[in-house]
Amino acid sequence: MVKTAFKLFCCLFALQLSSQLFAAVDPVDFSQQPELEERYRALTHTLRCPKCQNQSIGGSDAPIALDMRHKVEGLLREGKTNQEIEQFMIDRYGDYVTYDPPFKSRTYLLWFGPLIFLIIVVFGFWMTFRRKGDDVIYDDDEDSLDEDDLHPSKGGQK
Amino acid sequence: MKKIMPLMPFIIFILLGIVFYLSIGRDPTLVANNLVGKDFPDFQLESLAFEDQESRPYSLQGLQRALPEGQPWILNVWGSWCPQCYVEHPFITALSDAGVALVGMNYKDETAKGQGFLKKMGNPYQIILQDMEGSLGLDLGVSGAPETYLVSPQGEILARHAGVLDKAVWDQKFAKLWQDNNGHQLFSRQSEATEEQGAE
Repeated sequence: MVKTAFKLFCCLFALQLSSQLFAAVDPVDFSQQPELEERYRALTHTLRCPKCQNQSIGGSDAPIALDMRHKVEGLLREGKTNQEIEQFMIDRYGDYVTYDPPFKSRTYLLWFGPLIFLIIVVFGFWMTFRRKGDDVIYDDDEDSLDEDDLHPSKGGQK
Repeated sequence: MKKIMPLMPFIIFILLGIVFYLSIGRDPTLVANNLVGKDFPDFQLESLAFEDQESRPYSLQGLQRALPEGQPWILNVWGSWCPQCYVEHPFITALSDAGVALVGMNYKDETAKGQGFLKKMGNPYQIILQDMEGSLGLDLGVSGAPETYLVSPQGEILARHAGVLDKAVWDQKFAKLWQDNNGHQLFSRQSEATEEQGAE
């Protein structure tokens, strides 16, 4: 059972690695400025493709994603900071374009939502376990009653 | 509380149902734009040579000078590669016939193919810009074609629509802004007349 699960896990893990292969291939040459390459990679993965909802511009083959990658490359070479580049895209495409949404009144639900959900879940667990606790005490009573009931009859059979 | 607990899955189901129901038909790509209310970005683009129009460079200023003064205008992003552009073309032509100042932006296309599109479908545009690299497209936050922008006489972007523009979208998104910004009367009188006739 464990072996099968492990095999399945390995398969799924390999499958998820292979998604890297489907990511867009880009002949961007940063050999002159190797320090930019890391930033380029990071930026193209935090910026979201406006056309294809759940892909970053680094992972999408959409023409608009290609244009945006070129723009990111150009801005990097111009010496813009990561923040400036992100702002450049947000100015044009809105908050939608970043996977790292800003903290403001319109995004409170987005930021606090998971926390609120966690509180609800913890509260739910607490309610459930408290009730279970009641049940256990009740069960104990029943068990002891059962034993009392059973012993005489057991004794009788012997 | 104990009485509510068994109902919790049901309540969560209903809440999720509401959330999902509200998002049906909402396309988040349509709101992926931030330029409404801002100034139209400056650009340097060649125009597409078509029939009597020769290819020449345009900047934003040059474009505004070439358009009727004091009138709002429309920028329509299109490409011969874009199937929906063929669908919306009759309405764009109707706008042109009604006297709307229309600027076409041939987006990420080839000159010959763009010309072929206009030859086949007719040219509703006063000026046709060519954005082969998608540079103005990027500055406008264009994510595909067709897209349509309404621009005030002062150069402010008033509205944007991603997708096919038709009469319903025009009435809903553009008509009021068009009139508020000194746009002349379009087909409303005619269409009201035909609507009344239809009702009878």
